[in-house]
Amino acid sequence: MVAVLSVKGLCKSFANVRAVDDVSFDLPAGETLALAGPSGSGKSTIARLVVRLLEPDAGQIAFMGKDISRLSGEPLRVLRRQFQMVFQDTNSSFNPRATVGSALLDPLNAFAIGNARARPEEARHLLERVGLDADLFDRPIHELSGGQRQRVGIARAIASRPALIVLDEALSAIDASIRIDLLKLLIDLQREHTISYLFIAHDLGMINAIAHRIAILDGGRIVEQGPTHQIIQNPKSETGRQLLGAAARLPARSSS
Amino acid sequence: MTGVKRFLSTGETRAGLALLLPLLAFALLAPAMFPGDPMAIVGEPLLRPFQNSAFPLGTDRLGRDVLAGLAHGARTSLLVGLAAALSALCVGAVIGTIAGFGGRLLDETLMRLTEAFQTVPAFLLALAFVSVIGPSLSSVVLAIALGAWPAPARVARAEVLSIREKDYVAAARVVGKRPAQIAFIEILPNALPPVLALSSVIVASAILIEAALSFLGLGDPNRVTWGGMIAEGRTVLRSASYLSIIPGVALVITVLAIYLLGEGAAKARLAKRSYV
Repeated sequence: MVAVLSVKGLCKSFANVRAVDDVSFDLPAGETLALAGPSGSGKSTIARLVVRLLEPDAGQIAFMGKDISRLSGEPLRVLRRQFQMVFQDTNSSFNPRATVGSALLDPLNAFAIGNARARPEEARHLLERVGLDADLFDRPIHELSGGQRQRVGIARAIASRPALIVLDEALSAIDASIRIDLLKLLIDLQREHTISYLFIAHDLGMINAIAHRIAILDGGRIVEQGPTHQIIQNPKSETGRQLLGAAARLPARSSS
Repeated sequence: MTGVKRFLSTGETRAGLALLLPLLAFALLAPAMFPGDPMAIVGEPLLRPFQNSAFPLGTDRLGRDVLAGLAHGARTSLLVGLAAALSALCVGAVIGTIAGFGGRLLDETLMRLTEAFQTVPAFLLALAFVSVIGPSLSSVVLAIALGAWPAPARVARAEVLSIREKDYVAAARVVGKRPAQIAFIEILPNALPPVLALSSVIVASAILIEAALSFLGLGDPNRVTWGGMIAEGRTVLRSASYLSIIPGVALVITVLAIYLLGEGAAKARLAKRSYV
């Protein structure tokens, strides 16, 4: 079976810094691959390369068997219907003037999904699907809480029924109590629609809950890659051990 | 709406409105208060102000009502000032957005063009344009806008350059918006506030340039203008100085009022920032 996303030898430099250096991975349909690594390891750059917000210096990004690494203009725009992204910062990832409804209508209109008159109804369905009240439709997004905004972000990403969603630290800034609900929501959506997730995070606890496989990055390279349980239980790389130990290493607070 | 309230609560805004609102009413009601041609001879020439109740501000060298001229001139000044500023702001915002969003080549080209326009003094540009095209209301508006668009264009470009790196612009790309939609629907409206802050300065300078053009005889010949009235009065400056002083004072008050409104808006914006 052909992978939804297959990345080979991906490289990207900014000025003199190699942000992404010869990165390769495969992501099968309906699975989650987590990219983990310390800050500056190139996770977000890979995310932006995969959804083609950035152009790679070298390497291939095969999406459903088709190389999109050099695609641009209208063909790229049309194909974007199939791969979406959820951003980390819910304050800046929506136009400050947008309402909940307009944010959801954007992908429906841009990709001409369904009948134009049915789209507001479809947007309301999306809201309900991600656990929000359909009455929020006319509310300005900046009036919502961070968790609610990220639900809108997820609804926006699934609106065009994509095969792949890149979640760039999508839950990292979300309150821990709401994070679990959102993880469940993402897993349900994945089962329902067979979506592949490229899940970028630095918290191995969260990754353990959602990812089938993990790739650990350091300095723009993949230092270790494998099934989640294997890497969590027995990380081979120094970076992997550090990430895993990060929580355990914190000394307990001593009572004085 | 709190922004409007904050704007209205500054002293500058109140002073500006106190000057501008009567002026605006005066201009709007001119055809009702002074029906007929303000350029028609209606009385004895060189009648001084406050001597005849029919002509409170007197009459000019040919016996035309100064107050009627002032009212109709206010229409011209405000109309030209607002129309020129509006077109300069629109053109500037659009060109600035294209330059900031359209990639390096477009940016370089448009910015060199903007610089070329900025190196020529706005008044000389307007003077040359009207001399070539011929004086009429629309050519005066165009001539003034021609010198006024570079400033808003540069401000808009700078703003667009910072906005286009924001996540919501990336998100708009991801959800399949077309580049033109992103530039003009996502970015431009968010880049407008600092551009609009220039409007008071542009309106005020447009009114002054219009007056200067009319003073030199390059205003619309079919309309009364304050600049034209000052020029008329100049010939009898020693014997009837009021003919130059009255439209001159009107000009000063108008420009001052608009400037005060701009200051009020700037103050309101600053106050907003210090709250957040």
